[in-house]
Parts: sequence; C-alpha cells; structure tokens
Amino acid sequence: MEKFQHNQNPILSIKNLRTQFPTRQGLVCAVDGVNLEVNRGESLGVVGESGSGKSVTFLSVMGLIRQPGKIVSGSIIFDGQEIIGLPDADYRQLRGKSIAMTMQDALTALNPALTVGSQIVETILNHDKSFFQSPGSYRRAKEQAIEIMRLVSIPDAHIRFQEYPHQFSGGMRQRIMIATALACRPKLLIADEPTTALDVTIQEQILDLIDGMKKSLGMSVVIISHDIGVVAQNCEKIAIMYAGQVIEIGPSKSVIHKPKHPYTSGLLRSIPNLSKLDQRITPIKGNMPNPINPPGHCRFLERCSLPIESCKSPIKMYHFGNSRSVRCVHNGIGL
Amino acid sequence: MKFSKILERFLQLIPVLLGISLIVFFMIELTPGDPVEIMLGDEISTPEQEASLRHEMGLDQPVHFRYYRFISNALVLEFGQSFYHRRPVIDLITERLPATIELTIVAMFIAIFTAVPLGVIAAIKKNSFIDKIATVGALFGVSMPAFWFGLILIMFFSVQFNLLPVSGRITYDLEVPNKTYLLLIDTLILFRLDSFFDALKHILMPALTLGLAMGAVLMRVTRTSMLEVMSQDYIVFAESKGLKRFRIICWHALKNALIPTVTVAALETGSLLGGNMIVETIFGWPGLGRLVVEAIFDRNYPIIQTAVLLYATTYVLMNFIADVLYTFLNPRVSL
Amino acid sequence: MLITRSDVLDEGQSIFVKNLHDFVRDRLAFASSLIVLFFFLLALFAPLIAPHDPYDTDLMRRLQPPFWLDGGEISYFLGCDALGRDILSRLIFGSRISISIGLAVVFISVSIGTIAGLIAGYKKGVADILISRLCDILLGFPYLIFAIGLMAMMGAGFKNIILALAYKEWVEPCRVVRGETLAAREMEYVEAAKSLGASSKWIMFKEILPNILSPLIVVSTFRMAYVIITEASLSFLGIGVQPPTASWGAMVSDGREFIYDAWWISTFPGFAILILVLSINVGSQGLRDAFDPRFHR
Repeated sequence: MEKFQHNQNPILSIKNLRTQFPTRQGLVCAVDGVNLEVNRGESLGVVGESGSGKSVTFLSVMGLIRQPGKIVSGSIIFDGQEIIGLPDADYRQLRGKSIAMTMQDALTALNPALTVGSQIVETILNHDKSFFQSPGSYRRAKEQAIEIMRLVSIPDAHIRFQEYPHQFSGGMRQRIMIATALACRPKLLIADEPTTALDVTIQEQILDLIDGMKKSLGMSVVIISHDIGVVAQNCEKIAIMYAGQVIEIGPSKSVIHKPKHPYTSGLLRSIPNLSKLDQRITPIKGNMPNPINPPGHCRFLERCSLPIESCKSPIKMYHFGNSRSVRCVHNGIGL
Repeated sequence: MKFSKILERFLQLIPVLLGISLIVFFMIELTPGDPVEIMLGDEISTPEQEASLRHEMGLDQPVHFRYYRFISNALVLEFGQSFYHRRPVIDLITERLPATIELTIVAMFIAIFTAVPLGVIAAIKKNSFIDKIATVGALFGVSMPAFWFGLILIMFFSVQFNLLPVSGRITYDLEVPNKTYLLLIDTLILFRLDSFFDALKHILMPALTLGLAMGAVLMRVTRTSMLEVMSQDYIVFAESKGLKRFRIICWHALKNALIPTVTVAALETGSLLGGNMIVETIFGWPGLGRLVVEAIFDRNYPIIQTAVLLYATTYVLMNFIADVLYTFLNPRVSL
Repeated sequence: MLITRSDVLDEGQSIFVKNLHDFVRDRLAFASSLIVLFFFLLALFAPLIAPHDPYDTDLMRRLQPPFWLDGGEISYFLGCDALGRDILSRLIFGSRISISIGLAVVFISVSIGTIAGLIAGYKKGVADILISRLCDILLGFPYLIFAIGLMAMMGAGFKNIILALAYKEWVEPCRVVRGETLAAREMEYVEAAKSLGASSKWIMFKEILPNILSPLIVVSTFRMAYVIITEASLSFLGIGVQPPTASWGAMVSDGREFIYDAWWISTFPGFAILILVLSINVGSQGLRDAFDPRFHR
C-alpha cells in the first residue's frame, strides 16, 4: 500500500489529449486538448455537463474508444508508462487489473444473462497468472469474489453470488459493479456518474463506499459527474470540463468557495440552497457550442456574463499557486 | 423446476388444438364426393354393402357425433383407411415418417451451423466483404423458390458434373437393415462406411434445398441480434475488465444474441414442414411430404386430412417449445 | 451524449463513402421498384408484348433450344417446351398469373386483416379474444399445408387459389394492425376525437387507420413476395392454376422431366420468379427503411 507522497509520479498523467469522431455531419472534437493529473492515492472529481467530453476523456484512458473514433494526439501516462498506442494484448493486461471503470447505469452495464458472481469471477480468473486453471483456481476466485461482495456491503453474499443482475435493487447493482471493478485491486478506479441513476439516499452510501475502498485499498479514484455537489465532499481535487477542455482545476475547497471561472460560479449558483428558501435559482443561459469545428475563441463566450475583447482569441490555462489553474482571462476577478 | 407452470402453459394449447381439429374436421366434411363411393371405386356393390360400409365409417351419424368420433380416433392414432392403398393411414404415415424426420434434421443442421456463425461473423465485421455476401445471400435465400433451387442443384451436380445422385435415399445395393430407421445413423452403427457416404450423397442436395430459406432467415436474425448486443453497455464494461475478445464474443455476446435465434429457429421448423412436400417431390425422397403430394393427385382425402392435422399439431408444439425455451434462456423472463 | 450512434460512421468508411453508400442503397431500392413495375407492365400488356400465342402448340418445335444454342431461332427467343409452345410468350403471360394472384390475395387479405385488426385492437374485449384465438389457430397451420387442404376441398382453379391463400394470409396484416391499434388508441388524438363525440367506427377508420398506414404498406409488400412464391409452389405441385394456363410454377414442373435435354424449360420460369420476388423484397426493405422513424436520414 503506497503512501500518498507529493513528490511521487502521478498515477495518471494526461497531456494534450485529443479524441475525435468522424460523423455524417462532420468531425466531432469530443476531447480537445485536455491536461489532467491524478496523484497516487488522490481522488479527482471531474465535473461537466453532457457533451463536455468528460466521459470520452476517460474512455480514451481505458483505450475503449471504438472505431471510427480515435485518439488523434496527446499522451496518457499511467504508472510511468505511455499507454496510447499500446498493443491490444498489453492494454488488456492493464484493464481490470490496474485501471478499472464503472459505468453510469449498472443495469445495462452488467450482462443480464449471466450471474453477478460469474461476472466478478471472470475478471479475477482473467488476470490469473497461472497457466493452467485448475479447479482450485476457480474456488479461490469464487472466495475472492464473495469477499469483495462483502466488502461492498452486499448481504448474504455467498447466496446472492448466483443471482442475476435484475434481481438486485439499483443501489445493490451499483455496488456489484464496483465490486467487479475492484475485484483485482486496481491502482486506479474511474467511476463514471456513480450516483446518477440512484436515489438521493443511496447516493451518499455509494460515495462513502468508494471513499472507504479508496482508503483501504490505497487506490486513486476519479469520479466523473455532472453534479458538482457529488464530487465536492468526496474529492480532494476538482476539475471542471467544458466543451472538450478543462477550464478550471484545483483543490476542491478552493474551487467550490473561490471559483475562478464564470462557468464554475454559474454551476455553483444553480445548485438550490435549502437554507435560503427564497433564493432564486439562476441557471446558465444558452447551450454548449457545437463540438464539430469548435470555435477558436473562448468556448464559454456566448453564455458568459463578462465577455471582453481578449475573450475572442484562444484562451490558455493560467496557473496559480496551490495547484490552481483556470482557462479564463478574468482569473476569477469580477465573480 | 417450474414443471407445473410448463404444464399450465401446455394446457393453454388445448383450445388451439381443438380449434385446429375443428377446422380439419370441417375440411373433411366439406370436401366434395361421397367417401363411400370413392372407397368402393368401380366395384359393383349392393345398397346393403354400401349401407353397412357407411355405418362402419360412422357416416350415418349426426355431425357432433362424427366430430367426437373423429377426435377420439385421432387421439389413439386411428385415422381411417387410405382410399388408394387400402391400408390404415397410420401405417403409411409411420412408414414414411423416418425419411422425413431425417431430412428435416439434416436440413436444420446445415441451416443452423452455416447461418448462425455466418451471422455472427457478419455482425462483427460489419460492412466487410463477408457481411455483404451474407446479406445478399440471405436476400436470395428468401426470394428463391425452393423447387427451382433444387432443380438447379440437380442440373449442376447431377446432370452437369455427375457428382451427386438425383433421387432416393440410398442406392439399392448399399441398403442396410433398419435399426433406428434413420439411415445416416444406421449405416454408422453397422460400420458400413460405403453405405454411409452413399446415404450422405443422397441427402445432401435435398437438405440444402430445404435448409436454404430457413438458413437465410436465421442468418439475418442472428446478425441483427448480434449487432444490437455488441452495441450494449455490458460489452463495453466487459472490455473495461480487460477480458479477451474471444471471450467477450463467445460468452457475453452470444449468450444474449442467440436467444432470438433459437426462438426463430424453433418457429421456422414450421416452414420446413411445408417445404418437405416440394423438396421430397423433386428429389424423389420417400417421405411424408411425397405421400401427401401423391395423395393430392389420387384424391386420397384421409391421408391429406391426417397430414394436415399432424403438421398443424407439430407446428403448434414447436411454437410451444420455442416459448418454453425462451424462458429458460432469458433469465429475466419467467413462465 | 451528444454523439448519437447513427451519426457515427460505420467501421472503415469515410464520410464520403457513407453518403455514397446511402445513395447506392437508395438506388438499389429504386431500381428494384422499377423492375417490379416492369413486371407489372409485362402482365398488363402481355398480349401486345408476347411474340407468340402462349397456347399455340407446334410439335415440330418440340423442345427447341433458345436462340443462342444450336437449333434455336431468334423468333423463339428462349426456346420451346415439350408441346412446342414459345417459352418467352408463356413467361410473359405467366406474369399475369403471378401478379394478379399476388395482388388479389394481398388486397383481400389486407382488407379483411385490417378491419379485423382494427376491431380487435380498438374494441378489445370479446371481439379481441375471438379474433386473436382465430389467428392463433390459423397460425398453427403451416402455410402450404393449409392451402393444400383447402384446395383439396374446393378443387383447383384460379378463384380457389386466391381464396385458399387469402384464408390464411389475412392473419399477418391483422396482427400488425392490431398491435398498432393497441398502441394508437392510447394516443391523444383518439381521446380528442372521442371527446368530440366521434363514433367508434369513425375513430377506427378515419383517425387510427391513416396513422398506421406505413407499417401496413410495408407488411403488404413483404407478404406479396411470399404469396407469389406460394402460388408458384402450388402450381408446381399441380394444384394451382391448371394447364394449359401458363403459370411459372407449372412451367417449372413441366420442365422437370427434361432437365437433361432441355434445361431451359424449367430454368427460365424459375429465374423469373426469383427476379420478381427478389425485387419485391429489396424494394420493400427500402420502403421500410424510408418509413421507419428510427432510420432518420
């Protein structure tokens, strides 16, 4: 179990990633120059609305971008190794064992025709280094699977092992998906919208679960969500994505209390605050720009309340102390 | 298992079967011609002989009584006498049945083991050369009249190249005594390889012709189903676990994709029952189908009607089996 | 997600090829409809197009080969059959049989099936149970068998074939219409009509029916192909249209004994069936793609 050390290499380092999908209407630039880092033992929250490119970024990390989409440029370094362009066989070694992922809807992510137990066991057996899979190895894998089911608080794990996904409630299914992802004790867990399909009461349980697993397994975690509230409490670092780019990043407390980008503050303002019952919710007007042929200027320009002349050229990331960065000329002034 | 539920479902078939028997009965009733006259043919008979024959056949009774007799006889497989052969219908049928069964089984075999893998491959390699060939082939398969296809096969393989025999099940001097009445099995059991290959050569073209339409439909269903399955989330999740491609396709994908295939296959056997007649006629196959066609020309109504009843009942049973099979294969659906 | 699946190109294609692909596919459907139209016209104007009288027997020309083989002549383009009748002319007149039976059966069965389906789907209750049961029972008969049974009962002949096929054929349109009606009756326009006091009959025929026309048309075209093959099969077995009327199926059967010496007697009629049915199938698939809202262009 590795201790969290600032001077150790980050477990994941994404530099200038660009992923594109050719479509009938044109070339969709889903990820357009993304830079992110996840330190060891850290949890990163990635926030953005639909179409911001947050999921595609991490699908690219997993190497799961399907034809005809492809990663056109950039570098992804995982645990010291460049993984873009890695041959298929090597990538499969990484997936499930070192990097694992969970998806938004556990009902569609789990194969309805297979028992949940078998879906956990197959991950374990798949990464089993022994050449011959003796009957012993199945038994061991099954024990391991039941163990991890218990770890994610599934009651009567040894019985429910042979049940099918549709026989579980939504929250349980999410736990099973998490159990499947964690079965081989990966170094990095990417949780894509882990709470979106769940009731509010269950959401917190799942987030606590992920946090607990992170501590006990010493993993690094990425939580992707469109809901900034979800990542606020559980992540040490938050990155805000918009239109295929990272527009703000920093320690979560700092981003939440002192946002530097108009979009971020807009997001925070649109969360209803129960203690101020007469407060009006102010949504951000407008929509994200078309990902096909993205504009050269600031992508938030049309929706921003503080546009100035320099917003019309491409905006770079401005870096501050305390690992804060923002892609905006205002640098937080005026918000 | 849920045997009682299966039984319950089975009992629901009874009204349908009754309805079928009613229709067949009325077909018999409404067929022109006096059965007694047809049976006696050109023989000179006295009115007393006619009357006694009429009484024997129950023709002097009212309708409902005749129907009751019809049903009760049918249940004990008593279907009357063939007009032409002067033998019980049931004997004629049991004589010819094995030939038809063997042909149907081999046709199904060929259809399933060509069409299903082809459909899977066509789906995996969508728009490739093999996909285009498969799709076009399937289109031809459903558009081609079976009787013509059979003749073309004969023209090619028998007339032109003299590779395969035109008719019959086996060459006279290679015949073997009957154990299972299925030639292919019998010849193998008795280690008569020369006979086996001879029987194989005889059954090849008829089975190909019969299986053509079914194969075309199966290929399309499999391909469509596989395409849909491969775009599901659980496939992406399985890939994220780092499973080998082979396993993902053969285990995760097929388990779901083959469900519609199996059900359609069970249902399509109904078309085989009809196609029998044409194929057996062309290839001189001594089966049930040819018996029926001969009966049509001889105006041998007992055989025609019994065949209709038999085919319909088999078809209904096959539908039932398809339904039950579906519930076994799809864990989400219970009886 | 912003990127919908149908927008993403198929594997291995550039945008240009995908557009081309669609265009060609459309062209295919269009070309097939032209072919079907061609057969229609053939059937309609048969007496004007056919070079010879299809019933004209001439024993001198018995088994005469097509013009490109030895012994053939141009005026008897595809050769002659066992009775010296011109095959090409018989093919052309045969199209009349196939197409008219196809149209008649589909027309009758779709009409009956639609009415039955509308009633079953809209009124539900007893009518639905009865009609559905009847459909189940009829579906229990394999197609050919049922037709044979009926033909045995009624005797051969043009009219009887149409009836025999229609008796079972109406079930499929009925099922489709019933399904669509069941869905349609929950829609708002039905409620609106009801609140305006429209009678059931009005709702069924003037409100629901126009909205379910597209799946209905698709089903009809698909079934037509099936009917044509079935009629040909029946004629092949000898219980369809009776000689000397030229039916493609019967022509194939006639040529069976001559496949060694005169292959053309069976080959050409079967080929005609193949082309016609293939075109109908491709055309109706194109129709379905066009009408299906899931396949947005």
